[in-house]
Amino acid sequence: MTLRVLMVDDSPAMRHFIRRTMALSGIEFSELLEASNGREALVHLRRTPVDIILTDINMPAMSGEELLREIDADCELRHIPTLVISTDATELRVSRMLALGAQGYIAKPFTPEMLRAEIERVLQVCL
Amino acid sequence: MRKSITENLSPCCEEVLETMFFTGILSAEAQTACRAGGGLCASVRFEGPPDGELRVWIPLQTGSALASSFLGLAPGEVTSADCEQVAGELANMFCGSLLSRSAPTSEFHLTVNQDQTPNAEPCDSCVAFELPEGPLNVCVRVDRL
Repeated sequence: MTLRVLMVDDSPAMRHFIRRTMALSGIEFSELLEASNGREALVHLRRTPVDIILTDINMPAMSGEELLREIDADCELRHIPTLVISTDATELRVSRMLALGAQGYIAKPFTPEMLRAEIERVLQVCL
Repeated sequence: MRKSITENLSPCCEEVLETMFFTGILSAEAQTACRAGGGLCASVRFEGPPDGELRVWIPLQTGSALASSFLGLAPGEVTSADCEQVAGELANMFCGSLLSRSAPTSEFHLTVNQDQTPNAEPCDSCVAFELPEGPLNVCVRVDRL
């Protein structure tokens, strides 16, 4: 299965790392779109369908929390699974992101195997 | 919590370096004062409580080698912008991991800054790491618990 992925992170270095980690984990993607904040992500999402969204939380212009709210409010986007990738693994933050509609959460640091396992769990597929 | 932050600093840094930078720690030495100098410096301001700052300092050569590992690029392909961004990510991950472990029921906000200013204020915990790539210094100051 090849995936169309939208990756949302304000750090170009982290986007590069995630792209590399996905390749190292053996995940095949037909398209890997990048956005540096939630606002850019919404522009991509309204133009290009994707299978999964990987998003950071703390970003300028529109945070990951605001992005989840926007996605949840849009019936065209609500079905897209979202996985949060963040350095923040505190209980309140994780539970709030899941309550806002995220289906998965990965705390940094993470291995390629952890990323693959969480994507597979969220998508309910074996990649 | 101050004690927990001090105790967790080295294990958190080690986990981040091993998992995301594919390297390890050869030695770790607690310092009584920050040992910052020329090179790359990145800091993360955290607001919870706890409030405070974590600061990372690495010589340029170490920063370039870590950026190369993190990004999967050949050493000659790494730019100075890459090194600065990776130093910021390093500080961000150290800080997030440290706070998540030391204050798991807190809620905090992180702001990453990349600057070259050595830390002038006293720290609660400073550790000088020696990595295969070179030295790495990490300092944490807690302003409010």
